[in-house]
Amino acid sequence: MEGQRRDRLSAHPNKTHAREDKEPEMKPGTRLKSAACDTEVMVIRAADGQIECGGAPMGEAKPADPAPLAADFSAGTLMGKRYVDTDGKYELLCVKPGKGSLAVDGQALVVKDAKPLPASD
Amino acid sequence: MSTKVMQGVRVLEVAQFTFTPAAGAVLADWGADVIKIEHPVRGDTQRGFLNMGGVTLDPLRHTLFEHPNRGKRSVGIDLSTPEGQDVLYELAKQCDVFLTNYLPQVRQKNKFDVEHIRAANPNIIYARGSALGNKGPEREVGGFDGTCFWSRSGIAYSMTPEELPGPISQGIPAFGDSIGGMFIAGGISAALFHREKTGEAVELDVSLLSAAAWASGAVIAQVAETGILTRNPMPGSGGAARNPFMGNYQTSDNGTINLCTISPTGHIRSLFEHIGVPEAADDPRFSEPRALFENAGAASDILMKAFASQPFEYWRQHLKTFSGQWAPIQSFHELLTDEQALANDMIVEVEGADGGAPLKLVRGPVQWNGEAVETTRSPQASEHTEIVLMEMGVEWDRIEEWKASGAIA
Repeated sequence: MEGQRRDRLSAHPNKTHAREDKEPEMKPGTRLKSAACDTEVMVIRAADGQIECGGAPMGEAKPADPAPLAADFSAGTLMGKRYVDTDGKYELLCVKPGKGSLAVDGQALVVKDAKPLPASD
Repeated sequence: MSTKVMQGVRVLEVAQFTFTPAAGAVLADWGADVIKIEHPVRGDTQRGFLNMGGVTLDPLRHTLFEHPNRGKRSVGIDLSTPEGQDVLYELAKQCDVFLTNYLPQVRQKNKFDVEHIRAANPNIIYARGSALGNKGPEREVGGFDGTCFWSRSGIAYSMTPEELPGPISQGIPAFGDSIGGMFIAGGISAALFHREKTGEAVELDVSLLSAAAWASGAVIAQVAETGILTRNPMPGSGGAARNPFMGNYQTSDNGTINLCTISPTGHIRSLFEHIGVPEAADDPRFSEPRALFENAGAASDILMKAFASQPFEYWRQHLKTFSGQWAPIQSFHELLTDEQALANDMIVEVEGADGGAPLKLVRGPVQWNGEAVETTRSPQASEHTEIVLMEMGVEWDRIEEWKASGAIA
């Protein structure tokens, strides 16, 4: 399992183009797939951390053998929602929902929801 | 595969609540690419409208938002910023229709009034939904269907029997909005045809007040001509004073059957047979229309007694072979299972944004080639910002800049 993960990471185009001193940010518009569930995201904004879903790193290709869904990262993703970190370095747009939840380096991302004005009849 | 008569038409919608967005929803049902601009933080104010008629809605299964926003894409732009306005103009260049219900003073302040949008695209059709119209002393006043469509128009007054202590309320959320939204969509369709034929792009206006006046046009013309205003009678059971084949008849379980056989000729025997009193059709008091009108009270008594002997569901099925005009007084619960409504594809399903069961929505009222509508759920706020901008040929660096400045989300 560990070997597969490394394979996938090293196959990542952004990683292969990395300079030795500093890894570049993930290219915006990149589509990433979860190894643990059906989730797919479009990268809107990213730094050089590891983007994960369901506790496993996400990649542009889906691995042949799915990764186990980690219990701590199984809250699910919702279609069309944006997921962000608290520092504003990451923004992922969910384009296919799944059972895993999104994180960067083990830190859970949160939904960036609209804050509509209150209205009632 | 459903026929998409608006395929290739792109609509730029800067609108909130139901009335004007409903026009965009109808055009989306018909195949238009409708791009809904929402505030990058707050979104459409309708998204916060979660308590309605005592029912609390789930923001992810927000039926009041789904109804007027199905089939659209959402782009988050802050139109109060010059950068945001630039983004809007970029989009306007590639759209056929600009659709808005923002008030004139806001359109001026945020520079998306007709002259600003036309500066970006001289050939764009500019469609406005308003409360009270784009002319006159109250053009800057806003309103909802409850105020302008229902109350100010005269509808509430005429719907309310004079015996009641106060006016009947609209009762159905977004009732006037949904009717009026279809009027805007119809206007836009004609404007597109006119532009196709002549090359001229028009401005068009539909107000909630004008929608109500049109819906009430038959009685308004009567009032103008005769001075006589008619109002709803108090509800009751039994036939009309002159015609017993007109009226509401109560069933054994307090349901109601509405008879509306204005001209009873040819239907007298059929009705009396259906209610289980066939001998009444041979009674000289009821056997021909003029006699029936003379003896309306006696005939009404027979009908009342007969209808009260069976439950609503019995009559709902049994009267299907009656030759005259009638209807069960159904609820919307029953409409959802009405075989005629379903046979004509009036209900369309979209996926739930929460991944749960599909939501059932009503399709736009026009059906093309007898085919069912295929559409998608309403967008999340700003769901499609980058996708739409990239489609329009905007470079990612520029998207990043706009995002950093807060102009888009």
